[in-house]
This record gives sequence, structure tokens and C-alpha cells, in this order.
Amino acid sequence: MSNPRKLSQETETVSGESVELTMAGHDILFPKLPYDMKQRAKDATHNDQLQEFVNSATRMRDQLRINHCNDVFGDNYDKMRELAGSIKQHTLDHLDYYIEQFIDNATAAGTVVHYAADDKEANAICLEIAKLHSAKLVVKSKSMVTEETNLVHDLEAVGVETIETDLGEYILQLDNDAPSHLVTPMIHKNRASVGRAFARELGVEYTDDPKELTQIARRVLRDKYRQADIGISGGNFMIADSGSTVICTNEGNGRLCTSVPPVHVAFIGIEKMIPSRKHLPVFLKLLSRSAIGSPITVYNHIMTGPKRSHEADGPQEQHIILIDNGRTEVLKPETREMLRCIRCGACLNSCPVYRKVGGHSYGSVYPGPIGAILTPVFKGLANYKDLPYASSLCGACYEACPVKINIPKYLIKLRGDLIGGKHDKFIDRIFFKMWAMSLKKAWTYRMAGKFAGVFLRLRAGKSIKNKDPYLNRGWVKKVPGPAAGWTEKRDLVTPPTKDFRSWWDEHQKQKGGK
Amino acid sequence: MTRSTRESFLARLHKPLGRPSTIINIPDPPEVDESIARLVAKDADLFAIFCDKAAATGMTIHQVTEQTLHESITARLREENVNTLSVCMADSQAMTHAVAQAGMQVQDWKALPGKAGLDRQFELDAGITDVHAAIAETGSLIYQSDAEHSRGMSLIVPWHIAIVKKSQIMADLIDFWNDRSSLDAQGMPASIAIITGPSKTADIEGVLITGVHGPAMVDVFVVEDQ
Amino acid sequence: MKIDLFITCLADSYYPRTGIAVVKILEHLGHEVCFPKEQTCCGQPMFNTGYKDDTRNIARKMIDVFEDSDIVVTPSGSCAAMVHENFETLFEDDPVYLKKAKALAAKTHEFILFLTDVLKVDLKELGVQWQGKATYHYSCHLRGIGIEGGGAKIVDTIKQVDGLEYVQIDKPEQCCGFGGTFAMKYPQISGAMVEDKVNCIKKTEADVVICNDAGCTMNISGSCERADHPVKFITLAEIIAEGLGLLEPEHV
Repeated sequence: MSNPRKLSQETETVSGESVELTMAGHDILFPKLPYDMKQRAKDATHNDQLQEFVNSATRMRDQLRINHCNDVFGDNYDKMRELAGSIKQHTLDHLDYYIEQFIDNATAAGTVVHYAADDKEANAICLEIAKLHSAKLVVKSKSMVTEETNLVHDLEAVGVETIETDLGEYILQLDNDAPSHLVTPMIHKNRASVGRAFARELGVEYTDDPKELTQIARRVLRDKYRQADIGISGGNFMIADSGSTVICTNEGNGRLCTSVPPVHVAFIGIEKMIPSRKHLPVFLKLLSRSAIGSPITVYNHIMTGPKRSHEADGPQEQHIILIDNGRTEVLKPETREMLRCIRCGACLNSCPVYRKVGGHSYGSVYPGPIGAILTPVFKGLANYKDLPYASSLCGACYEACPVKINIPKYLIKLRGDLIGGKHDKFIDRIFFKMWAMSLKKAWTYRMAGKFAGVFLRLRAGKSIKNKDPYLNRGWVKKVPGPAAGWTEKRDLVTPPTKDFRSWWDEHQKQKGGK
Repeated sequence: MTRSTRESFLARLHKPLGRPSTIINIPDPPEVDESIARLVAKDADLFAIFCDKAAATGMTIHQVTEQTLHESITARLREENVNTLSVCMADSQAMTHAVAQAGMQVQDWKALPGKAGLDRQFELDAGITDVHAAIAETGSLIYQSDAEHSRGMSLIVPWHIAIVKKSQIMADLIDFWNDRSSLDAQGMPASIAIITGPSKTADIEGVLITGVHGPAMVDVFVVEDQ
Repeated sequence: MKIDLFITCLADSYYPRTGIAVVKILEHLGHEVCFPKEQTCCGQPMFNTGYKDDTRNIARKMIDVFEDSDIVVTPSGSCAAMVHENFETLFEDDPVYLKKAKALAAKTHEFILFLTDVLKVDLKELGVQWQGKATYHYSCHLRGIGIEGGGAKIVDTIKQVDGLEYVQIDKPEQCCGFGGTFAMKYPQISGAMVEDKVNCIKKTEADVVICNDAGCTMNISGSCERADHPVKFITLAEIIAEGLGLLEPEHV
């Protein structure tokens, strides 16, 4: 079995010797641009952990989602998703208003609100806060936006030890790996690799028992919470009418990071806003059900400002860093709907492509269907030309999405943008132009069909066995040209000798004769 | 590096939204249609639903009366060989007394305020708390920070023992948030935790493990108070 | 009633027997079937690849061909979904054709759903008798016409066929990996997907796979052929026509 991390190994010659460079976790999510996904996707299809575990685990979660949501929402499931989507869309349509309201309310509650145009600015703000408090140790909970900014790297670079506390993220950090799923980040790793990483990095005796491994992590991390100078979190939701931040976790690390250390810093993308507390239940009802098919995450922590004077404990300072980092680009009307995403991962679990290629094949922080539409807008369409096309447009993601983002529609839109930007291959363009032209008249369409039929039947040779002229199809093992990819994996059927139109003409004659 | 300000940051938003400045008079956000979003009716048997749903999350449910509460809790504490614990309730006196009487060491969590107090909670065997509400829909406990309620007591301790009065059980998450939505930002508790079960993870090969960072055990004593 | 058949390009050239079955069933039920011969293709291959302008020209032709039709029936859920979901997005700047596109969508029906939902046909009552052990492949684009989650509704219809032994396939909602040009551009991914599907088919031990979308049939049957798994692909329309004695059972 190959380690997914080794998918992206590079070799470099240093003073005549071949040195194996294992890509650091971060580089998996930040590959050389423009990114070509084909190699990683191909390797993934030969990776046992991916093909066996990821495949079945994602499908199992998808089934849990469907069963659970149908159970509780019944015929209202679709309406519930419609409602959640409409609340998000309304918020995005008036995001300036709600951001201002949030800033005012959060400030009134004692939170310090910061503004970050991009990844560098977000990290710089955080580093300043760390410096101000002479921080030596930071504990952080899972946050996709801190993956975007590569925060851990920047903090460690100035000597601040920074520990991921979500069990999955902690393991990935120890093993210098990167998340491959929005909710279950280490879905691509097996227990043996965790055992090896713990033995190597923590000096404990090797075990691959998940319970023992979890207990080891618990022991190590509990000390870290106690010693940490700063706790860093992401944010699942921001509530405009109260200035509150919400984080949803199952392990409790999120609540510990935001309760125990004296300073709390939240990194939050601007799209996480909802208008009011009244809207929160709609999302709490959908988030965990969509993610893993459980009614609600174990801990939902709604924080409004730092510790109040009358309270015994809690962080003395709360900082919220509002982050753009490409989001205002997506906020344009033609792509705004993409920002409804609440990062539940349901589209990944439902996606037959994700099940085959795994998260790292997407070459960015956001994998799966949502990543395939977000990443090209965040990081430039020309840099991620594969992502819009590496989909069968089956629509399972749209069916699963709790906020009804029409992902297939946006995949097609991005394909159109690639063509508009002349990023398609010349041969493809000519092929489709000719095909489209042939469809303008029935006789050219039929002639093209006949031509293709003769060509294929010649290649099929002896495989044609049936005598019925409407059924005498054969099989082609190999075709040249743009369709060569087809016969790489499967045979291509030939048309029978007669088409439907022939039958129709005969049928009309017979009827006329009667 | 020039830093973003509120103004420059908002300008970034105004551009894709197609306006020079923030519009103040915006349409009302979509209403939460309860015929769609409400999962438990207000007049349902909330007690039964809560016990059912809470048990399904892995919490242990005990149905007690005001008369049997202390006795039931101390019996349970003995069962688990608890030595040290703290009590965190709006009125802790009676409970503290009962537990101390049963021979367990009750630490006054308020004795060491702030970070030091939290730090000591890492050494406790259990924490007893009341709650601010409970939700039948999901079997959740709602725990808010205030002068009498340390954030750590339902979080840091390995065993969280929660006392829920039957009258505190609300039907649906919608009811709780409708109830809280009139508070202004300063009036909101700094920390509201919606707790639904013991701490869980399934990160390693999907194997479900309880007790990764938060409490591995949650016992809920539901008190008949009507 | 007078029904116009939209045969689809794949059924026309590759699977004409499906069209023959549809015509025979509808005529058997006493309806008049017409086949507007100027029709070609709905333009889905271009649309899904991103060639929106080329698609628009093809869609315009489709709309013109069927403009005077009362009802349009097509044996493909995928092509019906193209008309229903996508045609109007092509004419956002053309109010005349936008209106026509919406009108076409409103009167276009996938054949099986037309039978069960519009004509209210029950296959058992109709007396469809067909012997064989069959499973059903749910084609993803049925999502575009409101049939979600593995196509339980179609399965119910299949189960009305007297004598048919139905076997449920594993992962019914999972795409077979066709996706038009996707299968050619990303053979590794698409190949892994269809391999998964073929394994699920093998597990059913069915002799027959009922598959109503020609694209999926091309993909899965081609993969079965490559894997040397002998299984027959047939549309439900063909089963019904055979089961009513309107079509001779297929002899190989």
C-alpha cells in the first residue's frame, strides 16, 4: 500500500546524490501551479486505503445522512435545504450590512475585530497578537481557513509551538501529512500509519488500537491546553445580530481551545455569517446530519465576547480575524451561491469521483465537488483546469448539499469559462464545432452517424454476431483520436446496421399498406 | 504592509455586491418556517423524548425526584470510586453538603479564580453542574457561563454529571434560540455550550471512541419538579 | 392522444430497438405516435463540455422541431433533463426562445414516467409478462427530472412486471462514471467508477440489467464486455414491449 503523501514525492539531486524529498503536508494542498491532477488521481486509484476504506466510509456516511434526514425531515427535507440555502443567499446578498452589524455587536461584547484581505495579513495579525502576549505555545482547533493561510507554519517559524488538537489534524501534523476531507481529515490514513507516527514522534510503544491511540493523544494534549498561551479556532457561523461566533465539534477540543487559554483568536471567512440567532437552529439541525448523519455535533459553542467581569473563568481577550482571501472574488453575482457552503462534507461523501481519487487529488485546501468549483475561483481557473472537468456531472452533490448549491451547474459554468478563455484544446474545439454543425440538419446528422457506424463496424470485425439489423452491434477494443480514452478502460459498442429512422420509414409503409 | 481597516475591508465587499456603500434598509431575512424546521411540537411528551434522545447520544439518564436526587448522585459517585470533584450550580450548597457527607472531597472551584482554577479542574474526577435548559429534540444540555458556572466543569472533567429539572426541558432548538434572541450582545452569556453526549471521535478508521478531549462520561439526572 | 417521439441521437443510431418498443407500446395503448424527422440531438454533449454557444444553436433547432407538438416523449431521462434543466439557461438573453424553451420543457416527458404518471399505466394491470432475473441501473440524470436517490420509483414500476425476478443492486445511487466526455478525458477515474459498477452488477448475479439511458448502457456494457461478464442490457420499454408480445424477444 502506498502512502498518499508519497504520491507527491519529488527527487532532487544534491551534490551528485539522489535525495528523496518527501513533500511537507502543506505542499500537498499547495502544489506547483498550474496543477495537473491526473498523476495523483491515477495513483489514488491504485491506493488500497483509498479504494477500500475511503470508498466505503464515505458511502456509509452518505447513507447515514440520507436515512437520518429522511427520518427526521421526511417530505420536508428538500424544503429544509431550500430554507437554509435561502437564508445563506440572503446573507450573502447583503453581506456588507451583516458584516457591519456583526462588527458593531462583537465590539460591544468586548471582542477585538480584525480585518484580513488575504492569507498573509491574517497570519500577520495573529503573529502580532502572539508577540504581544509573548506566546510560546498555541493550541488550535480544526479550521479550514487556517489551512488556507498556512498559519501553523508561520507561527512555528517565529518559534511559537503550535499544536493541532483535533485528533485527526493532530495525527496529520505529527506525520507531516495534510487533510483530505473537510470533516474527517485523515480519512486517507490507516491505523498502522498512526501507530508508526506516534511511536516515532512521541516515543511511545507501537500500538494500532484506535482506543489506545486516542488515549495517548488525550494525555499529550491535555497538558498542552493547560500550558497554552493562546487558543486558536475557526468558526462555523457568525451571528450578526449578537456578534457571536459558533464552533461545532464532536471531540471537545474546540471548546477547550476557546475556554482554557487566556487569549482566544478566531480565524473566520466572511461567508460564515448568518443574520440572527433565530436562524442558528436551521443550520445546527442540518450541519451534523449532513456531515455524518448524527442529529447535532456533541459541542456547539456559542461565544459572545471574552470572559465577562463577573465570570470566574474564560479567555480574557477574544480576537476575531475576518478573512477575505479570495472570497470577495467569489461574491460576484455569477458565483455568489458557492459561498453558501457550510463545510459539512456531504458533497464529498456523496461524490463517486471523490470516492475514487481521494482529497489530495484536488490539489487544494478544499477537496471534492465544492473544492472543484471553489478552488478555480479562489486560485485562478487557468491554474486548475482539470477540476471543472473531472466530474461525471452525476448531481449527487447537489442532491446532498444542505444549502442547495447547484454544484454541477457551476462545474459547467467553469467549463464554459475555460472555453471562453481559450483554455480548451484546439482539437477538442474543432471536434465539437464539427459535431455541433452536423446536428443542425437531420441529413448531415444522419450522414455523420452512418459514417461513424461504418468506421466502428470495420474495427469491430468478428465481434458482430446478432443477425437482427437493429441489434447486430459489435465491440471495438481500441479507437484512435479524442475517444481513445474510452477504449483505455472499456470496449466501445458499434451501432447496428439499421437506425431507428429506417424502422420508422418501414413502419409507416406497413401502416399505410394495411 | 498597509493594514486593512474596517473601511477598506468593506470596500472589498461593496465591489462584488455592486454598490458604493452599505445599504441600511435591507429586506427582512427569510423567516424560519416552523412547519418545516420544527422537529418536536411544544405540547409533545418532552420528558420522554428528552430521555430517549439523550440516552441515544451515549449519556446515562437517571430519573429522580427532588427527594432522591442527592442519594442517587452519591450512590453513583461511589460506584465510580470518585475521590475529588467540584459542584457548579446556581445554588451549590445542598449538593456540596450531600456529597461531602458521603465522604468525597469537594473542591471549591471558586477558591482559585481564572486560569488557575481551570488548571486545577484537570485533576478532578468529576464535576456536578445544573444546566440552563435542555432540548428534547436532540437530547441536549445547555450550559452557560456566568458567576456561578465555570466553563471547565462540563468540559475539562472526565465525568460530567448534569442535573436537569423536568421543567427546563424545551421542545426544539428553535424554542431555545427564540428565547435568547431578544438579548443584546452584552446581555448574551459569553459562552453558551450545547452539549449532546460524551466527547466523541471517529477519526481513526471510523472507529467510534468516546472521551477524546472532553468528558468520556456524561450522567444526566432528570428531576421531577412539577 | 397525439404523441411526438424525441428518439435521442444515441437511441436512434445505437439502440433503435428502444425506440421501436416505445412506438409499439404507445400505439398498443391507442395513441397516435409521430416522429418529426428533422430532429437531431438535444445538444447535451456540447453543453456539458462547456460549448454553450454551439449548444444554443442545437437547442433552437430542437425547440423549432417540436414547437407544434402537444406532448413530447423521449426514452432518455438524461435528454429529458437537458430540456427541463438546461434549455432555459441558454436563452437568458433571448426572451422569445426562453418562452419557447420553457414551453418545450413543460411538455417533454421521459417515457417510463410518462407511462406511470401521465397515462397512469400499471404494468401488472396491463398484463406485462416477462421472464428473467434482472437488476436496475439508476441513471444519475433522472435527478434532473425529480427522481432522486437510486430511483426507487422506477424500481416499483419494474416490480409490476409479472414473472420478472428483481434483484437489488448495491450502491444504486452511485454514478457509473459515464459523464460524456469525462469518460474520454479522465479514463483512470471514470474507469475506476465503472469497474465499481460492474462489480456491483456481478454481485447481483442477474442475467439482465435494465438500463434506460443509452449513455450509461454504452459505458457499463462496454465495461462488462471488457471484463468478460456476460450480462444483457435492456431498457424497460423493451421489456414491456416483449412482455406484451409487441416485440420478439431478443435472440442472440
